[in-house]
Amino acid sequence: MLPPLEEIKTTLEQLLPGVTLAVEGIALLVDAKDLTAVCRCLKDNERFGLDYLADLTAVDYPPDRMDAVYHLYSMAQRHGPLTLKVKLPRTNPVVASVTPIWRGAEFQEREAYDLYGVAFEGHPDLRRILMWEGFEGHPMRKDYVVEDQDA
Amino acid sequence: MAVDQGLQSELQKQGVYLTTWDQLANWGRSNSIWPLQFGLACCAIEMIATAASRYDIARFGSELFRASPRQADLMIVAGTVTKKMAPQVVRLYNQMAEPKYVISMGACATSGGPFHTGYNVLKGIDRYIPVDVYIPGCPPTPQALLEGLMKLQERIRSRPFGAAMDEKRGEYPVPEFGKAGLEPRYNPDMFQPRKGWWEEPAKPATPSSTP
Amino acid sequence: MTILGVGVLKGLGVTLKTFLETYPWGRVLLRAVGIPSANGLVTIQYPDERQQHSERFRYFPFLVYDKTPDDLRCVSCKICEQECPPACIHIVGPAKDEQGRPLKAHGRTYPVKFDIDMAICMSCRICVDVCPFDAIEMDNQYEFASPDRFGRLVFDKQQLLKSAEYFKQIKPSEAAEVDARLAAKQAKTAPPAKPAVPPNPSSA
Repeated sequence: MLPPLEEIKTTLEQLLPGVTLAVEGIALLVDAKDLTAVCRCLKDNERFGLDYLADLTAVDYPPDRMDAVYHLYSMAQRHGPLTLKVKLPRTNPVVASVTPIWRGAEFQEREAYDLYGVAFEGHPDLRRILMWEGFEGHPMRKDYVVEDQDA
Repeated sequence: MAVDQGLQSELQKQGVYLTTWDQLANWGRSNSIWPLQFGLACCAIEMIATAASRYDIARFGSELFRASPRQADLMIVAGTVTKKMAPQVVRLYNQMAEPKYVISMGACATSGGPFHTGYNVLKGIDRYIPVDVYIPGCPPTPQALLEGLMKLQERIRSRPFGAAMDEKRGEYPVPEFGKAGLEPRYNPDMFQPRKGWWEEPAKPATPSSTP
Repeated sequence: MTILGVGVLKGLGVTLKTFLETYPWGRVLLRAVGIPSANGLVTIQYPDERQQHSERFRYFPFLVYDKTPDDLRCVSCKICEQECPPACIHIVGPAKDEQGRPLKAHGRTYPVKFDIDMAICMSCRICVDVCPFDAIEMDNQYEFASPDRFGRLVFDKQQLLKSAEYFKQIKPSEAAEVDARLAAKQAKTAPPAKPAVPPNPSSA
C-alpha cells in the first residue's frame, strides 16, 4: 500500500537532501529542477516501486501558471496512483523529460508539447503528434481561438 | 422503350422476362457494391457488426470489403475525420475507379458530430468529396446502415447506365496543411457553408402567431 | 500440460457450439450430450424483419405534447440548448406579442422555432436529463438516411412534436415514471379540495 502523502513527502525529503516538496490537495508538488531525482527515487526505491507511468499531461492556469501532471502506479506492488505536479511559468514552460526513466512518457510528452507548448528537455524526438508540423498555436491552452470553419 | 406493365406481368407468368440493358446493368451494379475497408473510429465497429452474421451485409452483395481503393466501388466513411486525416481521405477517393460512391456514416463524418465545436475535426467530409447518402446517428445501428445502403442502391438504379459510365468526375483537389487549419477550408465547387437561420444576424423582434 | 494448438481447438469448439445452437436438431444434440445452449445466432433479415430493441434503446429526441400539438410541454426555457454538448439545438422563443409580453397557450409560454440538427446529435440524452418540464424525450426510430444533409436532417418543431401516447407506447415504464412525477407536481400546485359534504341522513 502506498503510504499517505505526508509520509511520502517526509521520506523523499530524507532520501534526497536538498529537495523540498509540498502537498497540494491530492497531489505532491515537485520543483522543476528536482523532477528527475524525485522520479528516479520513486521508481527505483523498493518502498515505492512506482514503475508505471499511466498519464502525463498539463493543465493551463492563466495568466501565469501551467502545471505538468504525472500519474504513477506500481505494477510490481500493485499500488497507486500517486499524482505529481510540477509548477511551470506559462510564458516559457520547460521541464526535464522523464522518458529516460519511463519509456511510456515518450508519446505523452509529445502530446503535452503539441497541445500545451510544454517543452521537455532530453526528449529523444520532440515534435507534434496530433496536429501537423507547421501548425501554429497550442490548442488546449485557454487562450486558443478555434478558426472560424464557415468563413 | 418502355414495355406495358400488363404485358410484362403476363409474360412473367409464362416465364419470359423483358428488360432493357440499362435495367439489367443497373440491377447487377446495385446488387454487387464492394465497399472499401475504411473504418476510422467507433462507427467502424458498427460497420464490422453489419458485416458479421446477425445483420449480414453480404445479403446485399457487399460480401467483400476490399483493402485497395482501386478495387472498390463504395467508400463508407465510418468515423471521425480529423483535419490531419482529411487529405488522405481525398487521396483515397481520387484513387478509386469510377463510377464510385460515398456513404457518410455517422454523425462525425456527416457534420463533425460530437466534435462539431472542436479544433481538429473536419465538419463533415462533404467539404471535399461528393457524398451520396448521409446516415445520421452516433453510431447508426447496423440496420440504419443497411437502410442507407438500400437508398444508395435506389440511386444507382435510377440513373441510366450509359450516363453513369460516361460521367468522368476527375480528381478532387487535395487540401494542404495550413497554419491554423486546412487550406482551402472547403472545396468551393461543391460545398458552400450554410448558415442556418440561427446564425443570421439578429432581426428586431416580430410578433409571432400560433405555435 | 500445454500441447501446442489446444487454444485453437478450444476456439473451434466455441464456433461449433454456436453453429449447432442455431438449429433445433443441434440443440437436441447438445442437450443429449449435456452442454447448456442458448438460442444461437440467426440473421435478422432487414428490411423484411426488424430487430426488437429493448425499451431503453434511444436514437434522437422529440418534443412531447399532451393532447393536441399546440399543448406542448416545452416552455422555451432554453436549458437544453445551453446544455447540449455539440450545440445542435436552436430555439427562438418564447413567443411574444408587439409589446414584448410573452404569449401563452394552455397557460404556458411556447417556443416559436425549435430546430435540432440531427446530423450533429450524438444521442447523449443530456437534453432529456436537464429538462425541468419533461418536455423532450428520446425516440427509437433510426431510418433517416438521406442524400440531402441540410434539407432533410434538420428537424423543425413540427417534425419533432409527438404525442404523449406515442411516448407511452414506445417506452411504457419511463412514461409511467414521468407521468407520476408530473401528477405529483400537479397535486402540489392544485388548490386544496373542499371537504366532502356528508349526505343528509334524513333524505331517503
